[in-house]
Order: sequence, then structure tokens, then C-alpha cells
Amino acid sequence: MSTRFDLNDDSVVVVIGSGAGGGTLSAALTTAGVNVVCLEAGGQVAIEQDLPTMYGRVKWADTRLSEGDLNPALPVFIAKAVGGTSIVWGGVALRIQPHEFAARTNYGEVAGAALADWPISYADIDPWYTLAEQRLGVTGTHGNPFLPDHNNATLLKLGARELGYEQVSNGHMAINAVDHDGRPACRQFGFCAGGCVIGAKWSSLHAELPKARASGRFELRERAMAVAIEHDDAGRASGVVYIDADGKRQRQRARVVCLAANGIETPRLLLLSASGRFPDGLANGSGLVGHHYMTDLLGRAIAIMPGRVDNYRGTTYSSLVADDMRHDPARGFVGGYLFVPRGIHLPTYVNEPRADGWGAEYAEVMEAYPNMASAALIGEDLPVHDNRITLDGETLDQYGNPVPVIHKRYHDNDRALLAHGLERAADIYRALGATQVFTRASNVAIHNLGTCRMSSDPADGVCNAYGATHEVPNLFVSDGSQFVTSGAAPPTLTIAALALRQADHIVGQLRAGTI
Amino acid sequence: MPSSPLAFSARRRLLLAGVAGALTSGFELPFKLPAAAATPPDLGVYDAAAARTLLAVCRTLFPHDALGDAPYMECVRAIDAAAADAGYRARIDAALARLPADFDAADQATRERALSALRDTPVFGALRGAAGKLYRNPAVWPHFDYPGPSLAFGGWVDRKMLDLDWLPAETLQLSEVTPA
Repeated sequence: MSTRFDLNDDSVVVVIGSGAGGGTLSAALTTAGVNVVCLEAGGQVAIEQDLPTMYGRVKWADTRLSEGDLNPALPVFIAKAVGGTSIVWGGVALRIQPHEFAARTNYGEVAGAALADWPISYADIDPWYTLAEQRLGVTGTHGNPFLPDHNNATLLKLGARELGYEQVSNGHMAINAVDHDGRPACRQFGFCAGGCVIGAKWSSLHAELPKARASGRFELRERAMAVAIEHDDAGRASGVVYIDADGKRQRQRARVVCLAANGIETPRLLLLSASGRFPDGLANGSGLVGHHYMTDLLGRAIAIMPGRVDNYRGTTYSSLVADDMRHDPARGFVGGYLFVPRGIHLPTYVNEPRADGWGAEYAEVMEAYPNMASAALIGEDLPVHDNRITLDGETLDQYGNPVPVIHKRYHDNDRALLAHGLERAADIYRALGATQVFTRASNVAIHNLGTCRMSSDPADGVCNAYGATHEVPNLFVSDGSQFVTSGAAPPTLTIAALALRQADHIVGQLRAGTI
Repeated sequence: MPSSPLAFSARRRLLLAGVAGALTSGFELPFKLPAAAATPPDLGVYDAAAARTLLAVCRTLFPHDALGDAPYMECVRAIDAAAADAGYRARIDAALARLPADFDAADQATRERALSALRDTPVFGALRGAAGKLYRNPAVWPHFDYPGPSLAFGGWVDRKMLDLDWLPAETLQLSEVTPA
């Protein structure tokens, strides 16, 4: 519990970030006998069933600039807290599909996109997905029961069936339908997106950091903002400089550094770590650090139904319509998408049907809250070279470093996919008699992927198939920044599976003395 | 991890304490609102006339006739508190100056036309954001049949979550083929 490591202890693995990637990696490394110091930029938060309060409490509020299609005021919603964004994730735990790991091969050349195949095949990652599903307790896999039905989920499923959809289920959720791994079964509170009060939803906070602590080989430093990764004369990562909770600059020496700070801060930290030997940023010989930024495509449908739904009841996102996850260019785009239900609470409903709605007509939509059904669309976002994270030339953050600039413009394929999917979502609710349907794409990213992508060829990516950077062998990328493509699924299960796989690799390398 | 009803009642007490704290710190007014709320209360920044206009702005943005003025006055108080910042206040004042003198006496349609003139200014978003906090106020939740947090009663798992009795029976039959 109170394990401490000396700042000059250069035998430790330093993990930057305590979310889905960093937390899972820390737990896997420490339980395998490796000493880990985890630097977490945020502090411990108390979880309450109050969404506006929770968003304010966990959100990464440091200045970011946005250029392109994302909301300039809030381009990205991620968490700065112990447990990271895994506190507020929805729990939809799906695999990237086999054909998506070879997107370049299967989709062909797409103009304006930088599609590539992953350097790992589905067969490579399949056993790690299995381990991750078992560890997270994913419903509907490996004998874990499904979560129960509720109105909002059932309407999505029934509407989809009316339209002839077949891959319709209660979904694969990292939310316990029964007690699992010392965490209780879900009580159907309906506040998944603000953090689970009882830890029925898997998160690093509830499931991984406790394992790491129990190992006696783990020290978590809260409110420790990493600002640079240093290297030695041989070009190996040697330590991490961070600003501690008291605002003091510290240096933790390290044998291995693992970067799991989410898809914006991970490339930013590499860019901030430029040195004489690495003038364009650490491990950035390819020039691709920060590039190929993907968000997943997100859309929403809000429907006013002829009868009551009361969609605040029960698990926010459980159930799944998966038919459109297939790759079928006949639809006018490559890649696919899925639908999940999305419970909405009154305090945040005001911005849902329309972000700018007001007046008597909109008040009628608000009055219809009890009859409101809602679904979310999540779809594959293509990697584009110029969608990227850069450092701003002028604005500094509270730690004195250039703030990140997020450049993101939708590819035509993205627009075609969103248009197709949102129309289908509207059809699903119209099939059940919806009197009004509002659909729109989200302009706030919640998944940040691809900014340090894997590649076999060091010229075509930042890290190898295990997340080790091509240029600095003891520096690993351990979060969604490694992704080569986004797939249609949300990223968390893949992040966890890659973290387990990477931990196994690191343990082997440490034992062999190769890093 | 609370898995017994006993553990839940401990959490419930915590929650209720939290709500009570919020009520005393956030929602209690340092004065009595008159029953008809004809006279806006003293505020930190705005005088009665400006407060009346802000109240009318909030009601125009999200008009629910069944709701009294009290929850809208909470929104006005939030604007008043934010107006301690001179820049914010200057923007709000500029917006109010563009409204007709009889704004708060006009009907909804007239007031909507007047507010539409502000729609493309940044201050409109600030006013909409402040007025939209109406829906965060537990006092209005009963009007929308929204019960709020479910922690106090242990979640919906043992309660009704599936009651789509308005759907045709033949549609509901489809739901028997759930897990796939």
C-alpha cells in the first residue's frame, strides 16, 4: 500500500498515466514481480451520481487549442484523475474485428487517408483479447451472463429488428452482471458515464490499481505531471521529469518508461522531450509522432417516442446493434459502425437534441423527456496524415510548456459513414412510431488514437508491434496512441489487451536483460 | 464493496448528507421570495430592473409555464454571481442593452424575436448555458418525472426497467429473442 521508491532508483519501470492502458500495464507488471512507479497527472476523485459535477471534477481542463472540425471550446473530453478516462468510459468492451487489423489490405487505397495494416494480426492478439475479456469480466463472453434489458436498450433492439438487423444483442459490457474479481454486480444505477460508485463497471481505478497496490511493488504518485522523458548517452530512456503535487520539479530515474497518457498527451510528451540527439522529439525519427490522430466517429440519435421510456433507468450503454460493423463498400464508405443505447439524465438532456436549442419549441422537446429514447453511433475513423497533435508556438500551460493543438478534419469517408449511420438510427426509431428524431455527429472527441502508431517499418510509424518505440528500445507506448486504425469498436478492450501483451513482453525482455 | 442492503443504507446516509449540504450551500436564499416573486431579490451586481429582465430572458430561453419563478431565479443568481467578473458583466450588459425596454412585459413570441437578434453573439451561449442550468435544479425534476440519482434506493436492478406497454404486442414479441 505504502510502497515507496527512491527518485534515483533506476531499476524501476516508470508508467506515465493510470488509466486503461497505464493501470492495466502497472497491475500486470507488478503482479509479475516488476517494480513500478506510476505518475498520474490528476488526483483521487470521489464519485457521485451527478453528471455535471462529475464532469467538472474529472475533466482534463488544461488549455488545448483546436483547429478544424472539433469544438474549439472543448475539442476533447478525457479525465485527469487517478484511474484516468477509464473512470468515465461507457463499458462497451468490443474487439477490433479481424478484417480491421488489415485495413489497408481489405479496404484498398483510400485517397486522402493514410491507411495501413497493423503489424500484428488478429491471430496474434486473439489470446490477449481472451485474457482481457476474462479479466474485465465482459458480459456475453466466456460464460459471463448478459446484463438485463431496460426500455431504452429494448427500443433500440426492437427498432433494429423491425428494420431487419440480425446482430442484435444485450452487448458485451465490462460491467458485472454478477460479482466478478472482487467487484459487485451492477445495480443498474444509470450513471455509468460519471463513474461507477460501486465499481461494478471495470475501470483502472476499481480493478487494476488495487491489484498493483496489493503487489507491494507499486507506487502511485498523484498530481505528478510528466513534462519530459530523458535519455542517456546511448539514446536509452533514463528517467522522467515531472512537476509534483507541490509544484516542485522532480526526476524519477528509470530502467524502462511506458507512456500511457492518452492520445494527445502521449505524443505531446515525446515532442516536449526533444533533445540534441532527437531534435524533432523523442522517438520521432519517422516524423510521425502526433500524426494520424483518430477520434472514432461519434453520433447520437434522440427520439421522442409515442409512450414513456424513462431512459435514465439502468446501464447507460448496454446492448448492441452490430450488423453495420462489417466492411461493405456498397454503402458508399469503407469501415463500419455500431449502435448502442445511450441513457441521458435530465441535467444534461438540454444539450442533447440540439446543442443550441431554445425557445418554446425546444421547451416542448424538454417536456417530452420521459418519452425520450436515445442511441449512440460509434464508427471507424480513418487515419489522415495531417490530422495531428502539434505544440503551439505561443500559449504555455500552467507547467510552462507549449499547449497541444489538435488538428482534426473529417475525411469524406467519415462524413459518408456518419450520414449513413445517423439516417439508419433515425429509421430505427421511426419504425417504432417516433414523433420526432434529432440526429447529429459529435464534435467532442472522447477517444484519441493513432498518434504514435505501430509499424513494422520504422519509417512508417513510431513503435513496433509491442509498443516499443523504434528508436528508443526501452521506451514504450502503452495506450491508444499505438493504434494503426480505429476499427468500429470503442478502444478500451484493445488498449487493455495490448497492455497485457506488452507487460508480458517487457517482463520477458527484463528477464533476458535485453532492456 | 457494498453488496448488502446494510452497506447501501450507509451510502444512502452519505448521499443524503451530501444533498443536504448542497441545499444549504447552493440553493438556500438569504431572503424570502414573495409568493408571486413580483420583486426580484437584491443581488450582488444587478438591480431589480436588470434582474427582472434576466429572469424574463431565462424564462424565454426555456419556457415551462408550470414552473414558478423560483428555479429561474436560481439561474439569474448564477448570472449575477458570474457578473462579479467585469468582462462577463460587460458582455451581459451589452446584450441586455440591445433588448427592447418592455422586454419582460412582452409575450413569448415577441421575446423570442428579440433574443433571436442576439443569437450569433458569444453572450447568447453564456445566457443559454446559465438558463439551461434550470434542469440541474432538483426542484424542477418532478415536473419532468425525472427522479434523479438512484443510489439512495439501491439502483433500478430490483425495480421495473422494462415497461413498454404502449408498444404493439407483435413488436414486443421480438424482444424474446434477446441475447445473441
